[in-house]
Amino acid sequence: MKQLAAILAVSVYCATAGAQTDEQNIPRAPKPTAPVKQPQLTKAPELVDYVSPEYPAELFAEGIAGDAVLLIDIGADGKVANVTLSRASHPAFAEPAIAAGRKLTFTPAEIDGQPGPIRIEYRFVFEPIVLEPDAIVGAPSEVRAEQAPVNYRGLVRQAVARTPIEGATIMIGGRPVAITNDKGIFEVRGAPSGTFEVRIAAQNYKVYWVDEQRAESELIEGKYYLLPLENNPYETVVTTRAPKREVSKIELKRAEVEKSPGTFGDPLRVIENLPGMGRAFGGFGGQLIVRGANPDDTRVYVDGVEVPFLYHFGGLTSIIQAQFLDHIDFYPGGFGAKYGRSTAGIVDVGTRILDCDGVHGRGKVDLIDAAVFNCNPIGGGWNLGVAARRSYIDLFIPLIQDSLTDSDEGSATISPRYFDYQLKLSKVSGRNTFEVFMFGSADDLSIAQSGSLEDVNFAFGLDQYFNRTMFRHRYKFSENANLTSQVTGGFTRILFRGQAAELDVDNRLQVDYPTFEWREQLDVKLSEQIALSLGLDHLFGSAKVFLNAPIDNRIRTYPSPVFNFADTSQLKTRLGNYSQGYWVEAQFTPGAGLKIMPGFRFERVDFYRSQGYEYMPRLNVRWQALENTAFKAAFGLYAKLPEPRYFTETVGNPFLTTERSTQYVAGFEQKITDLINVDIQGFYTLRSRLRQDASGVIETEEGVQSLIYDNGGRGHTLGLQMLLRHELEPGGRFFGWVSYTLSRSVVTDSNIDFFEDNDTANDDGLLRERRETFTYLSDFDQTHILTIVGQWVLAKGWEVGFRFRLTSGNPYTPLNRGRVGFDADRDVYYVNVDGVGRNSGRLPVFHQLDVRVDRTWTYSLVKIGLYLDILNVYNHRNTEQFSYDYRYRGVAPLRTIPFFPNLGVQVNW
Amino acid sequence: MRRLLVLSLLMAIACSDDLEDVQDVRGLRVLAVRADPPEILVDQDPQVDVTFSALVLDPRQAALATTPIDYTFSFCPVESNEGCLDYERRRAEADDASRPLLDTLRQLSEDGIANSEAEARSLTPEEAGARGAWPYAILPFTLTLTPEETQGLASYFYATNLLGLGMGSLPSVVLDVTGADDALSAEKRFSFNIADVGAATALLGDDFGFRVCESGEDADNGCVALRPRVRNTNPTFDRIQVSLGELAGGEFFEVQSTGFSMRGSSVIRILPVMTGDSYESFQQLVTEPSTGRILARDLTENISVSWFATAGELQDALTTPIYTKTLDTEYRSPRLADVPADGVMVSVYMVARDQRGGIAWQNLEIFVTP
Repeated sequence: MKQLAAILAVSVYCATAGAQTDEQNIPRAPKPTAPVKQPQLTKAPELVDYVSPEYPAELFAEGIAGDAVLLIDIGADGKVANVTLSRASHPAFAEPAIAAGRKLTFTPAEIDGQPGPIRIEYRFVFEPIVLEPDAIVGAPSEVRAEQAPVNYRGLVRQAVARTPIEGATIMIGGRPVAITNDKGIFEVRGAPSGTFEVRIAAQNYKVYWVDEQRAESELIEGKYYLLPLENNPYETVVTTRAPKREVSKIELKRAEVEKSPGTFGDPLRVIENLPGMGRAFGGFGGQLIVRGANPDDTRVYVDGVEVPFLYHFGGLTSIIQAQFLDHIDFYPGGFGAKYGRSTAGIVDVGTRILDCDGVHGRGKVDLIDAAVFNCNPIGGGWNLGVAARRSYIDLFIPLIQDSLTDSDEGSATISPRYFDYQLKLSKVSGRNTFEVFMFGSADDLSIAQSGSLEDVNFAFGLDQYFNRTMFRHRYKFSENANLTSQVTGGFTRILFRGQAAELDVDNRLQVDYPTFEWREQLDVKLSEQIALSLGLDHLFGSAKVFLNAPIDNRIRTYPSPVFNFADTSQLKTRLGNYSQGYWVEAQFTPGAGLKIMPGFRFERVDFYRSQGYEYMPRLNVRWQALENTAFKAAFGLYAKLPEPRYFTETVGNPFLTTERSTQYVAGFEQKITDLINVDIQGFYTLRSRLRQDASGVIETEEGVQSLIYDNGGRGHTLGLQMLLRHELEPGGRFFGWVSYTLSRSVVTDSNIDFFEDNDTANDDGLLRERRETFTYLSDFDQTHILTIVGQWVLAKGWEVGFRFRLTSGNPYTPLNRGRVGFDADRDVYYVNVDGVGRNSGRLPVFHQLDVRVDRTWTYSLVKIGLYLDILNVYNHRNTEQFSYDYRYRGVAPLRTIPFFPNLGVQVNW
Repeated sequence: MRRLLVLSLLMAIACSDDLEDVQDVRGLRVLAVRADPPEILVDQDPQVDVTFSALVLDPRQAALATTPIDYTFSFCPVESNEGCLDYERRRAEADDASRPLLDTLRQLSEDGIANSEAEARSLTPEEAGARGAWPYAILPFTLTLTPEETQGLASYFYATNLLGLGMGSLPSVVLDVTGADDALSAEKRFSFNIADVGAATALLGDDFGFRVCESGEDADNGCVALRPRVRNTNPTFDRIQVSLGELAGGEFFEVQSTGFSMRGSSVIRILPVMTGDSYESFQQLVTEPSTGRILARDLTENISVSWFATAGELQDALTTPIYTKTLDTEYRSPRLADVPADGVMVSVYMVARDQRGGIAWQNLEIFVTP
């Protein structure tokens, strides 16, 4: 119910009733006239019971005030006999006013000293917010008595969050009597004794109703917790921040991300529903396939800090709990100079400055993991937030394991588990803002066989671990200038294990990578038309690689069906990294709705044995041509090194250099209604110097080395994306969007080919060298990507939402069309696909419906939520890849995850 | 909900459709190709003289409904991993002097038509039924190169890859088989090598990039302690043993490969035993990853066995001590319901490999009774 004020009639006038004469009965003969006595109103009716009319929701939402004037016939008993509308400032006010008017009760009017019927004019006033309780007319005398002692006071807070609500109106018997101050406190003088109804209304909160009891001469006190129309800000993120700058930046509101179906309540996974984002491999998502690019080409930042991965196990859930999030900015392309080391997209996750006014937190338990978050002030202006999460899929596995155990085959255990933690300290003090953020994540997957009499007992494992500790200071020189300094230390470990105790095998690849990052950013607003940002980011690191594995270091081996993993060698190496980035970005607003944002980024690349410089101009332009229409365009050069795993001598190429992309974006935004808008963009990304598989040798100072990779690849993506969005209005019940991307992404490999030059003029007997190119669809090409998301807020704490995805199948190489032969030495069948074409096939269309149902119970101090998130509701068996029999004849689809329900409960306090 | 979760997990990881296993022989198959000898040492053997034989069978031929197959052996004088499909590219990369020789050698081939051994030997139906599957009687192909051709090929491989730095180059023979309803291709290499790498490196040390230690010289002097090479030979089956029941570690007893009987739906373990000579010692050149230094490592051959059956189920497609501790595997005979009243013959084939090109095979005939 919205805030409402209805003020009693401002005028009452008499009307005679029951005094009509029947003209038909008047004698025709003239009679002598005598003065007729007019009935006199000796006592006006007084309102006894007031009833508020319902404020029409749509008018309230738009802040439309007004009134409705009624003609009310009051009987001699004081009851309302009839109500008619005299006038209304808006038609929507009429019906609620008439309904409320019928329920009013008055004292009888007296005419000539006797109770009698009367008609009055009564005016209901509709105003969205009432701030003036003194304007009450006709309030009971005891309520109006300013001199009466305070006998009722209270405290009004937001439910669960317990933040004080300022400006809430306290109504007794429908009449405003007090307003809360900035601490949420109110006082009432002369509150009635006995039982009385209290209503508390505040903007953006649901009206609170309660019956209070007060004995004569008693002072009563109460605490009241109002439910916000939107959700608790301690739950998750708010993303709307600065005005739009980058052309392709997409921001989502809190409610749009926190209960999105198919994400298990993980806001960071909502990114996969946005335009430009391809569908990730597998059922759980996680890969960031941006505009047909390799996921390695997209960078993920948490508070500006590069993190090696954003999701546990490549997509199950993200590594940062939602309660820490302030914003998620997703740039599918055309991003500014601030960001580097990416040639595709950027995901920038920002954590919030903690502002806990008490102990607040959240606990969550579902079938996959459990998580807890708590935030509280710790004195000195500091706030502390801590969070941790741990999965327990590994605890379920043993439940199904007994049936898989054989008497002499032993037992196999699979133990996937992850945990993450975050700790944040923040303080805002005058011009200074201090933040300390420690976070880390660990994934551990172990597969072990034991007790087998038949087979060698193997144990495999993958451990991924990282932590980061970030210190950030912001200093606000003035309203127009501030400086942000940030240093971060961190450590990353990736460990693959393959062990067999019976063979004394302990194979492992371990990469330990300590890093240190330094960032500075200065933002200056020089004038209303010109703003400037400049900064630097340095990344230091030294990766220590230890490999004890069956490296194929044999010279000329005979092909064999047995891979001898017990024949191991060791490799120890260090890969040093010192990457420097310097950038500047300006924003010119010359007027006429035009905004021009040129930028430039310079990078010094220094990774192990690969050094170089990159100069990257970038430009974003936005023109608000009409009130509801904006055009935009972007251009930029981008560069990044291939992933470190490609740089080791033995299994890579230490001389790889940067991969590059040039991005062009153009589009427009159209606001169709206040809530519906559409954003359409065309994009073209040209990629060059891509790492590709290679064969041959490279001559170095140490001699000739095998060339496993080189930078000979190139490619491009051409596409169009659209986002049609119905935004969530305050207190609204629906939001959703339709996201569609049409694109084509191709890769061209380029290999050196030797040929004999038959031109007699050049017949020197030497072989010539030429580049032989092969163009094929990128592994990540998805022609059509359609995502429809809808969410309804129902009554009584229910919410229901859906996500439907329809995507072209990924390209694949149909091996069963190749020429197959039997390698009698290796005891395997090979397939030659020269005549087939790489990625010449396409998997069947993917489609899936996910549904989520939430039920929330809100109490004064806690809010309890129960949710059911169902993946693949109609259990469509999507094909993720094809598997083949041993000679590539029989084909069987590998399916994505089937119908998968996840039930969870969460408690906020 | 728990059941639902478990079910979902299982559905998520399971493949919905069964694909034919490699160890199940249900149609025309090339199970093995053998080179004898598997290695040529050109400084000891003046000419190449290698005989190739093949194990090709079709269990559908067991009833003597003979359908002959056409076959062709052809020599691939370059190194290839794909049935010599890349011959033209390899040839283009060769020096001018080698190309005529390569073209000549590429023409070396032999065609033939083969019926199953059963018919070739004119067995009676009773005799023929004594095996689950009769291999096709493919005549062996003997590849003979003159000393000049051998020398020319050695020159080509030396120019191409320095004869594998003494670890051998790998030309091959490709067998193409065309049956009534199928066409197959198989490739078998042999090792084309030199015995005395030391002599070669003494002569061409700069090309090889390392020096072989002289007699009594320590490898710490920067030389490689590589002894003269001994030619590899094919492994040999000594006997076949069987253990009743499915449990590993049971008591094995010897059986005749010509046959024994077992009931349907029962399980045995089969253990092939190789002769002691099958496990040969040899040296392998390796590079030490961190330093790039070349070392000679003393190794012993590791035998693996690939398994095939014309009916029933074999637990493993491949056994080797590195994966399965021992060479034995579990065999489950056809289900009782599928066994005809007069029983059925099943052939189990074992193909042993020594990881250096040496190959041997052995069959075991099992009469399955209801």
